[in-house]
Amino acid sequence: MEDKNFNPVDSLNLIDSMLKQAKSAEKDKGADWIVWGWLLFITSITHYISIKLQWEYRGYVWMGFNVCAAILILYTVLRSVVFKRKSPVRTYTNLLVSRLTLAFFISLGVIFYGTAVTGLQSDGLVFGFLLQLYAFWMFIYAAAFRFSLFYWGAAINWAGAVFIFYSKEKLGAEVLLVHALCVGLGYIIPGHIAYKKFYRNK
Amino acid sequence: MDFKELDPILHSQLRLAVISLLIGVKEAEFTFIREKTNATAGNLSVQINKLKEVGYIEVIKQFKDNYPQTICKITSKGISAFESYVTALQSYLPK
Repeated sequence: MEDKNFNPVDSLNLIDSMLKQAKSAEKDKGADWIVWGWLLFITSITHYISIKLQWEYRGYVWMGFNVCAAILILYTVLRSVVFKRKSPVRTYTNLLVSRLTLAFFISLGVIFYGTAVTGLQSDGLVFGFLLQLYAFWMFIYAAAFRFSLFYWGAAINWAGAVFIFYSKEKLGAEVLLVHALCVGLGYIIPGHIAYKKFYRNK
Repeated sequence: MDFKELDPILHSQLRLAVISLLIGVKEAEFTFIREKTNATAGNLSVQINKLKEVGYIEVIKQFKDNYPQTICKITSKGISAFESYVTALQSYLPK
């Protein structure tokens, strides 16, 4: 680009073009959705199978999830500290999403704590609270990265949450299938599509 | 019709491109700006220095993985200047 003076229309066109370039930097490859989606999906299905088959150690299934989750969170924190400024550009959207991720995990912790101390964890209602939190996160993500499939994911997760609260303890172990289905439709499928789209547009 | 004076610092193709790019992001590396503006490293460096001298942008020089890294971010003075420039531009456009 030569440095020259130019007319006001050229100026406006240039501003518009550069703003679009800046906007194109606001993207996410969706890898976190895939990793967390599969982790939640596999844990839910494994727990469901373990209940149906009366496995002796079925109570440890979510403990395994917690260990994996702790490792993932630790890795994410280390990655953001050690490999700080890895991206050549930091957008306001990326900054907002990183803060929202932190808020999401704090809310997740509060749900786990709250449902454990109130006894709601044992009758499966915790999954209703989890699904509505996932839905909230998906909705924000869809708006931030203009990826409409996550709006559908959010709608499915909200519907799943309402269904769980409506059914209450009648659902039994099947609550895990509802959770797995919502995670599959809300996390995994949109996550894989976002991932493909990211590399296709790169 | 009154034409408002255009800020000579911003009324230059490359400097305006840099400011327009930085207004949409929190901060960007020199390499990112060079890629998006298609400017040569030398020319871009000169224009970035001019923007820095007038206080429109902040330039942070540091090392990443033993390589020098230059990060640019727009300042509040730069944002005001950009807004005034866009307002002034509107006076040149047919209504």
